[in-house]
Parts: sequence; C-alpha cells; structure tokens
Amino acid sequence: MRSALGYLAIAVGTAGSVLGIATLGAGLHLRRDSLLRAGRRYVGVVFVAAICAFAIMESALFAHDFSIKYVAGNVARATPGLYTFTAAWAALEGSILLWVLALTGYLAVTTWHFRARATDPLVAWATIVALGVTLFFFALMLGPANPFEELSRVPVDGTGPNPLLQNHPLVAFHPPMLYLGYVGFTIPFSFAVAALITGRFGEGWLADVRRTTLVAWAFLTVGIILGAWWSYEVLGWGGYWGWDPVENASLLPWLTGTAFIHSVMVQERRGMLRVWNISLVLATFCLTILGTFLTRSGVVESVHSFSESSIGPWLLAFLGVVALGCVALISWRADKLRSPGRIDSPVSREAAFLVNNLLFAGFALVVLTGTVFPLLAEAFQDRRLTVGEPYFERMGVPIGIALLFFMAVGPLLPWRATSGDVLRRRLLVPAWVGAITLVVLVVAGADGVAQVVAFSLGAFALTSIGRTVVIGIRARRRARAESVPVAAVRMVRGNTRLYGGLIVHVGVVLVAVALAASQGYVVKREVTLTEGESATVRGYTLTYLGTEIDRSPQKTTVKALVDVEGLGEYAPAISTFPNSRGGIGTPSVHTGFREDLYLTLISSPNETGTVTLGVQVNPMIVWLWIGGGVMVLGTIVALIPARRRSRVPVTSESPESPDSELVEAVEVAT
Amino acid sequence: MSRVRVVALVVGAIVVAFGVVLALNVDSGSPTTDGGFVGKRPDYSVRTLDGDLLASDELVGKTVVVNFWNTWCIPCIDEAPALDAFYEEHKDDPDLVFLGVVRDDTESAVTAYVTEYDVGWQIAMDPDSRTALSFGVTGQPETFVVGPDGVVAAEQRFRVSVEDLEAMVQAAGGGTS
Repeated sequence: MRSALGYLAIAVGTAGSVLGIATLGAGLHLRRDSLLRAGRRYVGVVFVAAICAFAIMESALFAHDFSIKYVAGNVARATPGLYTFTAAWAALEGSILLWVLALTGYLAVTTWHFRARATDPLVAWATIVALGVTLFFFALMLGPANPFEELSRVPVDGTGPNPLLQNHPLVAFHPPMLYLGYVGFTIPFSFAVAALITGRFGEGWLADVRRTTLVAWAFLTVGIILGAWWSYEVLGWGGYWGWDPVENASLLPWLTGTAFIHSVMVQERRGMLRVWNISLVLATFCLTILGTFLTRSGVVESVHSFSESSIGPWLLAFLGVVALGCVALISWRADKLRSPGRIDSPVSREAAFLVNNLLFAGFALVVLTGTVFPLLAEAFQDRRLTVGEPYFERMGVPIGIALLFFMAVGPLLPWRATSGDVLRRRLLVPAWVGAITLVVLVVAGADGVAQVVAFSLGAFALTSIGRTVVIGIRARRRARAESVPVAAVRMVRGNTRLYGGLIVHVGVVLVAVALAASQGYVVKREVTLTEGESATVRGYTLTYLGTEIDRSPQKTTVKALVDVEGLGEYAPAISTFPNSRGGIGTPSVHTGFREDLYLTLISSPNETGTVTLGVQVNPMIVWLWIGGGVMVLGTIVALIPARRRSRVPVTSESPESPDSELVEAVEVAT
Repeated sequence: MSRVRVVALVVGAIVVAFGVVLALNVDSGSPTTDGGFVGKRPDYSVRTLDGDLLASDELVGKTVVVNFWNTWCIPCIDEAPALDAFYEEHKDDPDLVFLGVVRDDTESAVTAYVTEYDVGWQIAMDPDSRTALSFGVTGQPETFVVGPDGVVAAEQRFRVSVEDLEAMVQAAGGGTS
C-alpha cells in the first residue's frame, strides 16, 4: 500500500515536472502570459509530491514495512528512532528522494520570491531548467532508483543501516546540510542557463541569484565541516579529512562556488568577467553532479561507498548532456558575452579577485585531477592506484597559503587602481603584525615552514580585517555622535555584505590556523596497558581502569575505561553490529581550546587483560569547528538585507579636506 | 573563431574524453574465474538443516555450488529467483550439489524462510563462520563453484544470475544438463 502510494507521489512529481516544462515552454513560444503564470503552479505540485513521497518513506521506515526493499535494507527492528529517521538518506534511493525534496523546496521558494515576475522570460526559462533537473531526479526514482520498490519475499527483520551510519547523531545533520548545499546550486545554474538562452547576461541575473548562491554555499560549508567533524568523532582515525574521493567531490563545487561569490562582485561593479562567472556557475553545478556520480556509481574506491548501484550510467549521461549543453550555450553566445570593462591596474581589488579566482580554480583542478587520476590510470594502463594525501598536500598547501595572502590583501585594495602611498599606509600595520608573528615563531623555534607561514599570514589577515573595522567605526563616530557598539552595529547593518564577508574571512583564518596546527604538531602514540597500569603521553597520564561491555539488540559495545589525570574518565570503545563483521571504533575525546586528547581503543582486552589504546594529541582542532561556525555566522550577516548604503558624510562635520581614513572607509565600504 | 569559442570547443572535447573514461569504469560485476579464492582448496564440513553431514572430502568428484546468504540480506532476496531457476534446472543432476550456507542469522528465521519459500536445496548454518572463513568470504551473497577436483573454479562476490551460475559451473567442467 505504502509502496504504491509512494510510487504514485513520484509519478505525480514526474508528471508535474513535465507539464510545468511544457506549459512554460508553450507560454514562452506563444508569448502568452497566462500560460507562464499557469506553468509556475506546477512547481507547487512538484513540491507537494516530493513532500508526500518523503513522508511516506518515513512512515514506512517507522512502521518497519519490510515489503519495501529500501526499508528492509536500511532499518532493523533494533534500530533506534533517530537512526530509523536518518535511514531515509542512508542509501542511494532515499538520498535521491531527499535530494528531490530539497530541490523542489528551493524551487518553490524561488518561484514564490519571483511571483511578481512570473511573466519575465528569464524567470520562466530558469524555472524550466530547474524543473528539467527535477524531472531527471524524479525519473531516476521512477526507474532505476525507485525507493518504493517491493521485495518478492518479505524478510522478518531488516538489515539495519550501515554501522557507520548508526553510530553518531551527526549523521542526522551532515548529509542533509551537504545536500542543501549541492542542490542549492541548481538555482544559480538555472538562472545562468536562462541568461544565456535569453541573451540577458548583463548583471541582472547575478543580483537575482546572489542570495540563493550564498545560502547554498553556506549549507555546503556547514555540510563539509560537519563531515569533517563526523569523520573525527566517528571514524576514530584521529583525522578529519582524508582526501577521500567523496570528500573531494564535496570540496570541488565549494571551491568553484567560493570563486564565484568573489568574482561576481567584479562583474557587478565593473561589468567584467562575464564568461568566467557564467562558467563558474555552470561548472559548480556540473561538479555537484560529478560528485553524485562518483559517490554513487562505485567507480572510485571510497569510504563512502554505502550503496553502489546501477544509476551510474544515468548520472553520467545527465552530466554529459548538461556539460556539453553548457559548453554549446557559451559558445553560441560567445560574441555577446564579451565584457565591456578591463582591468586597469594589477594592484586593484578586481585584480586581487582575479588572482583569487585563478587560485580557487587551480585548487579545484588539482583536486579534480587527484580524484579522477586513478580512473585515467586504470583506463589507460589497466592498474589500480590511489592518489594519496602527499599529492594533495604538496599541491594544496602552497595554493592555500597564497589564498590566505590574497584574502588578507584583497579587501584593502581600492577598485580600479591605487598608488604606492595608499597601499603602504593600508598594509603597514597588518604587515608589521604578520612579520612580528613570523619572527616570534621562528625565534621560539616553531617547526614547519607551512605552519609558520600560515600563522603569520593569519595574523596579517586578522589585523587587516581589524583595521578595516576600526577605521569604519572611527569614520562613523566622527560623522555622528554614536557610541562604539552602536556605531559598530549600524556600520554592519549598513553594509552587511562587506562586514559579513569579513566575518567569513575571520572564520577562514581560524580554520587555516587550526588546519596548520593540527596537521603539523600532532602527537600519535600507541600504549598497551594492563588493568591499573599507567602511561604518560605528552603530559597526560592515563590509567587503564578496566573494561565495560554494553549489549543491546542494535550493537555490542566494548569500552575501555581510562582515567586521565586531572581530566576525569574517558571510554574509547569498539562496537560490533549484527549486520557487519568488523568492529566500529568510537573515539573518546577531551576537547580543549589549545588541544584535544583523542583516545581510541585499538584492541579489546585479550586473555592477559591488556588493551592497546591509541593516544593522539591534536592541537587546536576545536578552532576548526569554531571557524566553521564563524564562517556560517558571517554568511548569515551577509544575507541580511543592508538597511541603507552607508555613505559616510564627508561634508558638514568635516569641512576641511577629507583625510585618508575617511576616504578609505568610504572606499572599502563601497 | 572567437577565443571563447575555441576554449569552449577544447572544454567540450575534454568533457567527452572524460565521459568516455568514466563510462569505461562503470563496473559490470561479472563472476570471475581468476584471482580471489579461485584455485584454492576449501576445507569444510557442515551439517544441513535436514541433519546430513556434508564435508569437502566426501564431495570430491562432484561439482559443488556454494551460496552464502541469509534472510535479512536484500541482495540475497534479489538473487533468490535466479537460484530457484538454476536449482530447478539441475536438481536431478547427480554430479551437482547445491549448498546454501547461512551467515549471521538465526536458525528459526532460516527455517521459516526455507519453509515459506519452499527452498529445495541443502541449507546449512555456519554458526562459528568456519565455512565462510574456509572460502575467504567477505559478505553475502557470495557464490563459489568447487570443481570435482575440490578446487574453487569460479566465484561471484555479489548477486548471481542464472547465466552467471551456468558459466561458473561450465568453468568447473560440470553440470551440462
């Protein structure tokens, strides 16, 4: 019954997409506004169909309706409620259902947002494109990835989710956030394609999708950070990023998306980089599909291969059509896409953005190459190989450091051109702070060139951000009699985009510093202890107190109780699940602002009662999560509509010629 | 031709080449008669649900199809019709033994399943995983065909189709009915 209802909802969604596309297409062709207005109503139909299908899936999961193959494969009677709920995206078919729910949600919000412009051909075309993408995913569920497929033989109990997906509550957040990020890029993509089709690739469509792009970017950022956190808290290898193909697949659209968020300002401001911006939006979308293909087709070896399936060729065909379609559209519009402006000086904001973009694109290329190289090697040389951490680090670290540098310098540069004098004045303090940090670190004997450079650039960037904020507040206070907090809040409210962006940059500095410290200064040991025995690792004294075993139908957990002097008791564990052979480790972590103590149980007590513990001291890890939070906070600030463009008056209160700080405050803020 | 078009053309060509490479990598998952456990001689002895003892030594001279499965494994349910069809075709062949070995499941669930779906071939529990270990099993379903010489001739570490099974038995040099 549920199976039939669910399938019906998917069929309605598919039909709704087709009818929506047909109606809007007819409206555009016949230039009839009534059809364009009618066409957008199908977005509502499609959204409701997706909600129904998802709700039916959840009800089937909770009702243990094992006649549905997906339910039988992803929950067992012993699966706790939370993981029964999250089982809806624990495997391929359900993931596509969640994907469609998010996609239709975005589409519904966008359609509602543009309700007054329903007859605008740009909006109509964008809706057609987005409905086309929706149609593809609905069709996948109608055919090769039907989440409501019935089993010929109904099992008494289900398999239960993959052990890794039922061991930590973060699984409730990491995939949905990532999907909201991935899927959100469909909207800018649709508008970019619509701009190419209608020939309206001025700056209008960019303003239309700016907010959605930021929302998608923020979700993707959260998704990636939560993924790193999940990896750290669940996988128990002590790290948070392993350059796994599927991790890379999420990083790729993030890199091109980040590049776009920056370069879009150059187009808005100077009308330049039109081809580049459109290409970035199109590439970001293609990379999300490539990511899905890599995750779901099993072509690459990955820890994420939860559900390999037969939809690989479908995704590949879709990716091919989209990518070639994009290339053809750009080629068709090549003559009209030429930008009117050009870069006047290599020392200007737009030049810094251009370099930043090339670096992001270069980074994306490095990651893409490393991810797909094993496939190429297999195709041409017939041997399996993987590209590991050393490649990504050797290539990625210099690019990351260069990005950090341009992030510090870029916001200080004025548009168009600048004089050496201005540059000197603006960079003086931050550069000194950076240099002093460098000297102090070297004198203190800090190890690692990359680490020292990253910390110094971090100090440089933070000072330059601080300086911008201080100058802005000072300029406001000079113009109006406001207290510092009031001036600060009003300044941010007046230009949320700038200050939101700067807050994001603070988050990036925190993440960069945390990455550098945790990669460079980690201490790893293994200790084997008998009951009551102690060991000391980097100042932490650990005593093994004994073992505790928890048994539940869902899993059996062996915990090693460890007393850490001064910190209390910790319990790294290994759990075994009935549907899986190997044990799943659960680390026990003491989190501190300076460093984490990360304990894992490597081997359970043997006959002689000894256990082997992994002890890892990870410096500054917590700043990775805090930095991620700050990045999201900054994005939220940037999303708040600015109250009013903040024009600092340079007239009545300061009749004499405006001093350099006021000029800078105005310049930076515009 | 404008510069943008040239770049677009190059990008298009790269996309196509890349697509071809990816397409070549999409795995078809067919059985193998090479590598894995093929060529090795498993040593096992199981008691079937009917109480019979089946041991590798006594099965020499016969072709043995060993299918590892359980009741909660969805791919096992998926391949069940293929097993039924294959068994139906070969059940009268005296030189072919079809054995299902259950991993990680309860005997009551298995008995209920065997009764409900009328499974005709021999089914044995493998409580301590000895049999699975002797075949180097990594999951289920996995199917092995042991030749009359007692050596594994072919294996499939995923679902099997009737064609897969026929080809595997052929590779073992038996079961040509």
